[in-house]
Amino acid sequence: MPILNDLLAQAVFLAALPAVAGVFVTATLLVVSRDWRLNTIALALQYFFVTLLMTQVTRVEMAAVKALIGWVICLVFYLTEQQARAPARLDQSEGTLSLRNWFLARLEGWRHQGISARAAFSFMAALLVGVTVYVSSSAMPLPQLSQSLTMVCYLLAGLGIVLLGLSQDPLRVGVGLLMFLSGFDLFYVALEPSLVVTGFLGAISFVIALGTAYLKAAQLAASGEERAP
Amino acid sequence: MVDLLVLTPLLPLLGAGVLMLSSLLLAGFTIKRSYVRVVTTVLAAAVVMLVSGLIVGGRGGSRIALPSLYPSLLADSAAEIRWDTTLWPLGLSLSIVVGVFLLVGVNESEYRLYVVPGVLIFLSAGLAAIWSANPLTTIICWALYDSTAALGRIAAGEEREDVVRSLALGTGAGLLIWAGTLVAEGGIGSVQWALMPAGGAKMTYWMVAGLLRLGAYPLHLLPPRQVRSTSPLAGAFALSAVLGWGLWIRLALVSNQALPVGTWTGVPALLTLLGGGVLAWTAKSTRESRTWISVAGNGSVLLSVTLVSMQGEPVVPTMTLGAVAWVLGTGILFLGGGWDLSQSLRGKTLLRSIPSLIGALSLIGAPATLGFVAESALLRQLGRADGWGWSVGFLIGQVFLVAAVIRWLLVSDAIEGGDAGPIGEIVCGAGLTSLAIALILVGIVPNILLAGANVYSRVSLTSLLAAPNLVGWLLWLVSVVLGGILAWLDRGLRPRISLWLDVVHDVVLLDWGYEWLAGALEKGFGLFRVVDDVLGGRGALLWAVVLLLILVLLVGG
Amino acid sequence: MIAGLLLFLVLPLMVGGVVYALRRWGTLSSLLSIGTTLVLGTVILVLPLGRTVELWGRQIVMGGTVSFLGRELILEEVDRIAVAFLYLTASGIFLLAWQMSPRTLLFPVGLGMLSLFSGSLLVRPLIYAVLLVEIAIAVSVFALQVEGCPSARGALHYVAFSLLAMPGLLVIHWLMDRYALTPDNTVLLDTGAVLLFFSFALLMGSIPFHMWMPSVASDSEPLASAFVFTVNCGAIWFLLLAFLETYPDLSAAVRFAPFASGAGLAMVGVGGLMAASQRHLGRLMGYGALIDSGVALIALGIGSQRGLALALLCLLVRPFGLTLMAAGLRGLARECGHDLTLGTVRGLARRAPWSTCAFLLGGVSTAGLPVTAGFAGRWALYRVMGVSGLTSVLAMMLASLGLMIGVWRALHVLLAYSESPDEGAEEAKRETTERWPRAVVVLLAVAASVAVGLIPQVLAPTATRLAGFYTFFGR
Repeated sequence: MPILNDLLAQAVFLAALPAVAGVFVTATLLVVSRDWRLNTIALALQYFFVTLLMTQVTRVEMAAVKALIGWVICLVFYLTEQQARAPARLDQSEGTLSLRNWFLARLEGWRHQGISARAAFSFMAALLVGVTVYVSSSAMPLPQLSQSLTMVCYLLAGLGIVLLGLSQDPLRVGVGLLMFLSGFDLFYVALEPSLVVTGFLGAISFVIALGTAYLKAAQLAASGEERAP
Repeated sequence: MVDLLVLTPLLPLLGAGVLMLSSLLLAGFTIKRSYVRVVTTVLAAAVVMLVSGLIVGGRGGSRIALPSLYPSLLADSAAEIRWDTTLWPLGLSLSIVVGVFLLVGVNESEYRLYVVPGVLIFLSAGLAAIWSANPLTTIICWALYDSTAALGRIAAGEEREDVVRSLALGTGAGLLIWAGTLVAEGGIGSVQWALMPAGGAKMTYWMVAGLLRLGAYPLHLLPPRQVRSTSPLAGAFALSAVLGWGLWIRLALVSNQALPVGTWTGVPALLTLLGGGVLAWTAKSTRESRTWISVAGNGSVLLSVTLVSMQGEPVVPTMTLGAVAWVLGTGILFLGGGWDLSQSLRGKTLLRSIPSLIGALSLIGAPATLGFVAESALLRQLGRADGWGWSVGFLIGQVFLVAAVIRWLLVSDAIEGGDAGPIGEIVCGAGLTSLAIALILVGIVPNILLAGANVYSRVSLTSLLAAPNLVGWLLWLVSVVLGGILAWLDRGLRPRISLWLDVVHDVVLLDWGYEWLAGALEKGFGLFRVVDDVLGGRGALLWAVVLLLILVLLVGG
Repeated sequence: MIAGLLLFLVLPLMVGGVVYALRRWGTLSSLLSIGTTLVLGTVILVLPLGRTVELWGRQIVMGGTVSFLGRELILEEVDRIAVAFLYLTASGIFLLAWQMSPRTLLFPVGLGMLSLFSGSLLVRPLIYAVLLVEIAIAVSVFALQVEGCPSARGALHYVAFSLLAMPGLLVIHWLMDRYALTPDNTVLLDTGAVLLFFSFALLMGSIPFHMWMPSVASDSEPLASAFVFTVNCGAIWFLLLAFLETYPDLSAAVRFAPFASGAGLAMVGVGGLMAASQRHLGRLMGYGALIDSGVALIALGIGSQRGLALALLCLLVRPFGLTLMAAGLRGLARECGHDLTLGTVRGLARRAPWSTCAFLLGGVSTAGLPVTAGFAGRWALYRVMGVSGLTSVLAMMLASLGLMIGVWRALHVLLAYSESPDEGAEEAKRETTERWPRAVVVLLAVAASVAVGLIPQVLAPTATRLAGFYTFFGR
């Protein structure tokens, strides 16, 4: 933990516009993308940037706790998705795919097929939410927070709700809930800096992650039973 | 001193419990089926006869009250049943008829043991409903009655559409009573019927509730129609209208012995007689026609009561005796019939033929039968009615009723000896005879059932005979003659016009109307289902946000 | 000496762990769960507050204030009844689940949730209560998911809608603290009131946030759904009352009563229409729960002590209907593979008569019709609302009728035995799959419902007493 605190302390210079931009990019990516690897990385990065922003309103140690919880959640999602994709990978017998080849394959796919209608719609929705958030943050500032932090809170909450509304997959719904919670957490830690409350909010996030992972596993098990003769 | 009233609904319940327990305990033993049938039936019938005796023996003042809601901060209602000086004939007739059903049922080859406890529970609920002392108790007892009747009808093999419709109608009637208590100021749910203030919108709600219970046309959905079982016990469930009569008698007592009716009440009454008569005569078989004969007979009493009430005259004696006649007549309808003219005075058929004939005469309102009480009052009103519409309607309805009754009497299959042998025949005959004797005895001395009743007037046979004027008597005689001719021509005519009869039967039955209504409702509901699927499916949360924004705009705007 | 309060936090968790380990032995784990909840629910009612009692060689003291992880747990008289309600309701659900679905996660997860809900009722200040309730709601996902069913929509909707309510409730605490310091700043009060209304609208499924209720009922384990509709919703109701009692300015400032009435009317109206149109039995139950919640809100909207007592009475009788319905659905689901649409449940009344009976009587009780437990609450409510509230009463009656239309439609299909004599003979040979233990349990549940319907003073004084502890409507 001291190592994490030091790391965060060193990265504090990013806890301004770069972090805000980082949150916006990762949140948009989570809404638009369906690729589980990309989403997991984006979620982990988002937790990093949110933690950095949190250092503006609370102690570094508290922010570090939240970061830890967030990354453990990302690990849970990663393992669940990996489990989910395992049968498909075995069927395809592609062997191990390197990151570079994967990225090139993606790029090739986008070039030939273009962006899907769903992705385009999600992107437009994210843009719309972004514009609304920009206007709302100046019209309805949150107490105890600067305008940039208010914007981040509204952004995470808004995009979280969009993701909740557009998704049926348990893990994506879980990501949406966690984004919403992150946004609220960032605001509430300024109002109520109690460690117990932080712990409870972290527990809620963790239970949500476990719950959605469980639902995903149950879905997979049921689909597997249907496929089996 | 034991409160006898407590026992009248409780004994049938206990009897049903004992029977069900015995069947569970003795399930592993091999006992001859006929012994089981006889013992079961005799036990059940004995219970019912005891109940009947208690009803006759119990006199005024008996009451039991279920514990009340406490404290009064929430409500001060109490469920209470009370033996009534005017309603006891209704309870007695119901008990006797059910007892006879049970006795005769032992004869049947298709006897279903499990229906017996159902019939006993049904009787218990029926008696509790008749004795209910206030609207709250009436609502509760009607609901109990509907549940037990539905179970019994399912067990008796009735069509599911009929069961569901009767449940729906029963619930609707209960809701109307509830609504009536709500529209009255001051919350009168636990005010006794005897102390109920007269007038107000509540009386309209209650009258309509009673009309639903009576199975008035076009809401004639309560009586059983298609019954797969030939068991006579299924006929017990055709007596649901007795609850409606109980309510109407109470309302009449509240309103100075005259029902608070308008001209509108006479229309369904007339339609019930007309519709019931047409349906009875156009029914494919005499078995099917029994239900409609019963409906038409009920319609005749209904018409009599409404026309008398329109004149503001006391109607309680007519209503009480008319209802009793209907109950007894319906009993004979489902148990008798099959009068073989060639064997009418020989041996075993005598025990069935004579009661069946008496039952038929009562159903058509012949003098010296109990059915004549209501018929006499009706003919008196028709004789002096301003509009000729009532008379024409009565004539047509009565013609078909008479034709259908004669057809039933002569053509229907009689209940055979079955497995029970000569003893079964005697029991069956004795049961029918007891009903017939009641019809004749009370028809000659009607005041037997009115003794102790809180009624302004008494009736006698002579006053009944003198009541209708010439027009009234002519109407009745013409209807009987025409009906007789129709019945005589029936055998030759029916095969030639059977298709037309089926068409008329289907049209008058109104099932097409109900199916159209149900279809229209389903189409409407389909729209809601689509909305539900959309809002509750993908993007439910976003839809919620959109709806919230719309609501905020509407409210804020 | 053991602080009795801690028993209610720790014991269910411990037993839940044991039950989870033993879940392969359905009867054992079920009976353990039933016994635990029954004992705890009875103990909290019976043991006197503030006095030491010796139990199995241990001294236990109930009541007073206990410190747990730096936070205060306080057991007052009102909390006793609330906790007892939750535990006894859960024991009834577990009893039915013992016969209907003995090897589900409902038992261990339910026990865990009870522990969390107990904590939420006892802990001060209220922000911890909110957090504990949200954790319990998130945990319920494990119980809601049906094994072998690919759809997780119900659980996801429930968690999503409920979690969105949390921020508002947590911020209210901060707003009201500020308002106490600056009472002339009414913006704080208005914001708090809006957040209160919005948050509880989400938690209680008020229109337009009601979609989770039919989703939960249709896509989830039926008895777990009943647990959510009764125990979870019960805890939320007590949370609402705690908020109103703790912050009386909130209920006084905003026009709380009209809002509650309006929300209730909307729920009742939408619920009735949707229930009448349903062809899925699970969704029918969900809309029944929506109607019932709406009725309780309308009672609260009377805005008096009496109205509050009526709302609590509706809450107390609610489990009798919904639990029976859920038990019936579970029994039917076993016969038709969890697809509870009308097409698949055709003719099931013969194979599953007791489940059919439970579903029907549960529906009647939820609709508030005689002679079931639900009737007691509705009769009292309609009588009190009287002529002045005739529109609301009419709406509620029509909603009941709408629900009954759905139930009658279901009955019609359930009774659809085969018309063909050959198929009919085959069907008749297929005996019922329901054995006598299930029949006994269902009969017990039905008898309990009818008994409460006929003798409502079993529960009515409790509702009145409970209402007496809240003062926000004045005395």
